[in-house]
Amino acid sequence: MEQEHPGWELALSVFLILIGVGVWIVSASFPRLDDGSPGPALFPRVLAVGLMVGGGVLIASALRDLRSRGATLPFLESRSGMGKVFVTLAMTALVPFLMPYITLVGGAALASALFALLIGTDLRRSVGVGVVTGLSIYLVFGRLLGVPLS
Amino acid sequence: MSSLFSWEALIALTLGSLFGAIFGSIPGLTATLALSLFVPLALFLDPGLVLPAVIGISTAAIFAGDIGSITVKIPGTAASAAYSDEINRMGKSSMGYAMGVATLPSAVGAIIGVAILVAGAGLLAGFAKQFSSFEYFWLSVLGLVAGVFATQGKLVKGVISLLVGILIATVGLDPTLGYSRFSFGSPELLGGISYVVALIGLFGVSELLEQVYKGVVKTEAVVTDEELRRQRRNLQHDYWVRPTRLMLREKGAMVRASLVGTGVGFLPGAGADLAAWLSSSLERMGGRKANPTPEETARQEEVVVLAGTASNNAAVAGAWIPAMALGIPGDTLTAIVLGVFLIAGITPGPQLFTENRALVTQIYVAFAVASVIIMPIMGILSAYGVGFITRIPFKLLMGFILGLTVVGAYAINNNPFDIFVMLALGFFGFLLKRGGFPLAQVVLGMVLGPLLEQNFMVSVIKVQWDLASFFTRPIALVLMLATLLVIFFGIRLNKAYQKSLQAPAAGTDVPVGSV
Repeated sequence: MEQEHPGWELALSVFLILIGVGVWIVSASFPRLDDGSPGPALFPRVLAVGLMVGGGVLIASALRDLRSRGATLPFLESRSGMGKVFVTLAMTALVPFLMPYITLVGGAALASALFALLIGTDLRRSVGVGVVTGLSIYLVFGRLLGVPLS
Repeated sequence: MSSLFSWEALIALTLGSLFGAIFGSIPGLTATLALSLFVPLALFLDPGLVLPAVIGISTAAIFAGDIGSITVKIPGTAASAAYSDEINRMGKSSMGYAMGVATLPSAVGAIIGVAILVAGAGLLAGFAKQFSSFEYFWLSVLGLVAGVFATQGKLVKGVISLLVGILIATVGLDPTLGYSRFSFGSPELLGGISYVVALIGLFGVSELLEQVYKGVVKTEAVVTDEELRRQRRNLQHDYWVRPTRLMLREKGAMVRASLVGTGVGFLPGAGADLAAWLSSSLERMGGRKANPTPEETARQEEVVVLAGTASNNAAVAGAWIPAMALGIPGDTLTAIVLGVFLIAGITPGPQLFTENRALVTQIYVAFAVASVIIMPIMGILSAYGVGFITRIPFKLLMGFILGLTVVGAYAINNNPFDIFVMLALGFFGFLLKRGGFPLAQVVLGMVLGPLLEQNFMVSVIKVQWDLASFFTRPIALVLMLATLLVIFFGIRLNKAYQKSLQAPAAGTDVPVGSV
């Protein structure tokens, strides 16, 4: 089950409202149909309003919960946890850049090994995870199933 | 052309099923990809071998989408995302039982779909012709509304998740003018965001980030030695007997889901995903009780999974109705199947039923064999395989999954850009999870959003914005009334659910499958 926290709810609601505002602004430049009726902008604008209204409703309830529970802002709860989240994202995002040098299989294997290390696996086992991942991908995806990997 | 009843055809059917099952079970590898990779091979094979192989691939890949949900909570298909949480909880209690419920109702659902295919392909295809953009619009609305009310007491969050999903689906060329929306000059985004990439990001990557954030990744395996021994001892019983009992006990839900699955499947453009979502959402809503006991919660979750699995495979058979009778693909899979038909020298259409009756019969039989014999065998073999996966220490498994998500996202379009999309959606999914937003509704929005927008825009352009036209066609009216009924009962059930939360908690965190 998902973790619920009024601080997260508040932060996310603000984020959703910002997305709604952004979508509204960007879709203002979309063209109308020949007869002047709304075209490509119609759905995004309806969705933007929905996100802003929904976000607003949730902000109100999240603020009430925050006051009653005296909870802190979410990111202050586990700074090291958030740090690890960003490290995970950054090292995985490196894979496409590494592909020309070590191929996709190598990149995925490296990301697996680094991730195992990050979550507390010892070095020997982390290397093992990388090797097994790389071999499995190569054999199952590349050789057995014929999925193009480069 | 070889007969579909030959040994060679049976081997082709088995190998096709195995190929499909492997693709369906690995997140990122889809039934569509499996069929696409098979097409070049089909050019060199006897048509009598091509058709059973195609039937095997499409039947097995859809059911195997549940394997990822059971093991690591990453659904292999958008259809299996409809009941991913429930089937994952079932798997924690008994892998054999979860695999059994994934497989046996799928087989029965497919058989019901085939029976309807046999009985009324021509008639149903004629009915499908009555569906215009107005009916499709209302069908999409019904699916979305049912999905919202299926969220356990989180209506606002469910709606927001759905809006987010539909918004993600608006990226790329719009359906009216072909105008590029939210692609910000990136050619990679012109074609939109693949929902398979979204599935991997939202369910796979977000789960990894959640574990990292909490910092409580377990060192030990998912299942202990003793627990695994117990599950192995009971595997045959859990796989064959308990799901059969469940189907007999819930025969009403079984028949409903199979009929919904076949019905949705034969509508061009709808397919297994919508069928699974619609059936499982309706059962989730209908079975909700105020103050449920743990047993009632477990029982309801079983019905939700049963409905979803029965429905999605019934839809696979159903999608072949318009494909064979009208030459109209019911979904992406049957679009490729039509191509394979043409490669095999078969022209789909009404004349297929009069001029090539024997072939049509053979196709029915191949479907039945794939569903009744091969799929259950694949299922039990998968149950043993799943048991092996659960023995891997969790931390090591997490590392392996990260590598798999990277390759899965890349393999869909052979495009490294999809890895970035997966990561962005994974982080967004992590934030949504933290805020208590349901993720499954995001996927539902992505699946149904384009259908909704396209049919709405086509309709309003057709009638020059005379919105009253949405309420005048008989089938559209029936679908609209069904939507209103879902809203009415949904609100009542939601109120009852909110009341039950105020009462002393009965506790819901219990293993599923205790009945």
